[in-house]
Amino acid sequence: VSADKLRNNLKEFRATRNLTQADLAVMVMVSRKTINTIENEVFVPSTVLALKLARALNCRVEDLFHLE
Amino acid sequence: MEDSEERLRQAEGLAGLRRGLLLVNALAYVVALGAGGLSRVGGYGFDTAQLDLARLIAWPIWFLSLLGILWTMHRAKRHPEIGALMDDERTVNLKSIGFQAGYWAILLPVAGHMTATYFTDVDIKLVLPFVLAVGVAVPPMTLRSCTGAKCVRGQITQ
Repeated sequence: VSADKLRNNLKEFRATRNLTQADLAVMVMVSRKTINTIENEVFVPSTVLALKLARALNCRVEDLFHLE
Repeated sequence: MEDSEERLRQAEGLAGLRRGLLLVNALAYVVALGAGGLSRVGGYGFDTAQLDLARLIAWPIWFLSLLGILWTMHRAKRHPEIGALMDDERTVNLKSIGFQAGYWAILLPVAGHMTATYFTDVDIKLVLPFVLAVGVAVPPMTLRSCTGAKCVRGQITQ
């Protein structure tokens, strides 16, 4: 049985909105490393943080995150 | 968005200072308790006067670094817009890993010592201070190492 892995398009969405990791970190009130670790798929964010990220990037959570 | 950069710089500076203080605090605690334990059992080859001196120096360092850590915590609490950029759900997770590591760092040497007593005479007066010191020091050390840049895969982009 293969475990599902959470993938994300955070970096692409952030780049299209011309936001740096620092900008996004301040917008959702987390550290820059947290944004970095989410983008690199090292850290899986909570539902609350995922919703905050989607709100900050003006998209749906499903656009940002998906299972693979 | 220069304001974001400035605020993050402040938060990362404060977090870096706290990491450094955590390291100093943990090391000073191990030295203070370890030197005390060694001194009590005759030094095991170390000069007891030097051990007492090490302990005498380590305690104020431990105390001052503790004050520094408390100051960084106070500052983070007084400025939540900076504090939120230092401690978030990721660091909460790391803290719990740190405390678990500290628990095992106490448990395993105690078990090791009990096992060793079947074969040899190990003075508990020497072992316990080190066990306690390491158990207390491991959580901040783990937190310090896990919140450092080396734990983060990939580059932090601007």
